Amino acid sequence: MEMGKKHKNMKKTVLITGGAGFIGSHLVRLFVNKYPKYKIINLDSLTYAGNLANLTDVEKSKNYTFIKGDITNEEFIYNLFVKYNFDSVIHLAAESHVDRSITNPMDFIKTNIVGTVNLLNTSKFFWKDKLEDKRFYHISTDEVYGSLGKKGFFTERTAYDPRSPYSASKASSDHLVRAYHHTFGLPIVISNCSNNYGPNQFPEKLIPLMINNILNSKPLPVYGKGENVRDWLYVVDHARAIDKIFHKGKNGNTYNIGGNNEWKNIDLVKTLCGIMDKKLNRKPGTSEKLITYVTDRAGHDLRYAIDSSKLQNELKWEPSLKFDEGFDLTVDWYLNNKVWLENVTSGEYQKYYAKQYIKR
Amino acid sequence: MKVLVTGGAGFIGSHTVVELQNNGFDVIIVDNLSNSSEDVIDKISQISGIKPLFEKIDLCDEEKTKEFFNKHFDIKAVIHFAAFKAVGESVENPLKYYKNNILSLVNILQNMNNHQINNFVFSSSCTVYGQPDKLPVNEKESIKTPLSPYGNTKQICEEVLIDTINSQNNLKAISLRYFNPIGAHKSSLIGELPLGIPNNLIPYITQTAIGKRKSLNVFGNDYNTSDGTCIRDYIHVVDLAEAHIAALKRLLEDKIEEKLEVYNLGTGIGYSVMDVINSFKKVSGVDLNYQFAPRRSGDVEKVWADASLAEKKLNWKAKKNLDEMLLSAWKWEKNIKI
Repeated sequence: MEMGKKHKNMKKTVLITGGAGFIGSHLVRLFVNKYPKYKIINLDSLTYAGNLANLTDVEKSKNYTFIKGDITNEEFIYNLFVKYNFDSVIHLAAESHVDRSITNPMDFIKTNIVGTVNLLNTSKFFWKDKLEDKRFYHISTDEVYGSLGKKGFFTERTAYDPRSPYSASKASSDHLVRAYHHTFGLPIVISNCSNNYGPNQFPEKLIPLMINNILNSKPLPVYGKGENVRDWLYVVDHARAIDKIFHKGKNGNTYNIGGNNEWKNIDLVKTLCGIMDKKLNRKPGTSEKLITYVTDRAGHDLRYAIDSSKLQNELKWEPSLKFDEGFDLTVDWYLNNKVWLENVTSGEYQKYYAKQYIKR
Repeated sequence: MKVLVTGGAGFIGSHTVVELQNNGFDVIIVDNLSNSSEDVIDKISQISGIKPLFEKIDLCDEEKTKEFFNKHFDIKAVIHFAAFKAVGESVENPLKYYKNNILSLVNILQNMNNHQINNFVFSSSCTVYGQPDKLPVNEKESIKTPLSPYGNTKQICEEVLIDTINSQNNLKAISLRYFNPIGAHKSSLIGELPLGIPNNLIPYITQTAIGKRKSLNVFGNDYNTSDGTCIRDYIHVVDLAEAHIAALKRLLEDKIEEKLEVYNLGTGIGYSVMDVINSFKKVSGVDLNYQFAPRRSGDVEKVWADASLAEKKLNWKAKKNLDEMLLSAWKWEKNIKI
């Protein structure tokens, strides 16, 4: 059966946390458009990375509701469940930037760990023994597996070995989600995804940061020698994988999501420079001159690479785009959405940016 | 959702803890065990399958209470049962009652304010009505001069609560005025465990029936009632416990219409002492040894509740009748192994 047909006529009330963020907004868009009978409630605290401008195209849809709020507030989440009687939670809300986790780990503990437990507790409280058709889906990262050498891949059986406060907080929340499955029988699934890129990503992350700086002819800060390797996935493909796993993933299971698409940071930056030079009609090599090597990030993991064969084989998912296609789309999106970029780069982000890079 | 139950090892407290756990709440009990035993905590775990957190603390101890709340900063609501409750003793030793019942409330409210815990359920009593002018008595009935220091502590506590609520932005509370809670959990693992000579009718009846007491004194048979004995509104303790869950949810869901709401909890039916004795005989098969004795000071003649407000607002109604209440109390008495 083609994915989704079976579900088009089902009714569900789905809480998506962090739905105004980068990955969340793409997921919200997919669900609101694909499942008109689902009630999608997007809960987001709209801190710096959550941005309702990401969702203007779906904000008037009948099956969509936005609520601003904090997942760590127990009474608030309790009342949200009273009001909407969710049968599904897709939990993306998280502090996600590794550099920020190094500067301020406690925020990550509160949002990522305490917030997750609060959602687990509240789901358990309201679902009680009526667990058929219930699902708690935790969206996580491949960073929980730690760092790889030059060879090998993370599989779902790789032992957790998180290295940064960010990945430690996500590992902790993954463990807690699994613990609630084993201890209380809560129906859960977890997915761990590689690095995402695409439209609407906040420009503190590598790709939009580089695009923004190339655009403004500002230095392109590259950590260390730029030899760290990351596996990149187009965000819409991540949302498609979440859709698959949400509907077809086996209760209690974990799925890795990735695109077999490894890049050394420096190669990726140079490729971006080339694309941008072309699109901005600059002389080839112009943007590469902006590359500035900065002191490496503390505890910078060398390489992430993910084996997503379980997802590909069991649930028949595969990336829809090749990396150069995704790259192209992404650059075009940022070039066509300069207002969005200007809006998110003003204020708080500027201060943060200075602290993170200019002093190095 | 973590809920503090003070006096959670006591009679009403323990039954409420079980219902809270059945509803998925995480419970922490504070009790000084002055009128209860730690065994009750184990019995609660046997019934619900979940051992509640328990700390033996005297809530009159300001420092200990403060430490407790600092440690358990994630408490979201408090159900406050802890209090001395013997009418006769309160007449003999009023300061013990004023100190314990009022100071513990003050300490709790102070700490709730410090930690921004905003949901409070208070155990009050129909004694605040004294002998009401009209029956059934509803929540609008004026508060009468109390007939005992115990009754007075409940009145003063309600006043402390009103003043505190009026002075704060976020605190909200429900005060539940119990009529006469009796009976025991169907498991017969928890029930009323009076220390020494019971003050209340039902444990006196069951203890007499089982042979712990020689005979039952019925205080007064010359009241202006059909058979001359006092009339009360008896309510099954599990029904009562369920009302606390309804009250707690009303607070958590912000459905309250006033910052302090007051509800009568009773069945709405009054039974005389003789009705109770007859019903007990019917369900237990035991012919009680009893005699009439002079009226006891401080007893009102008759009182029963108009509990329609609780039905309307809390969507709660007592379900168990007098026979069921007495049968459960009798089973419990037979199961007490002390």
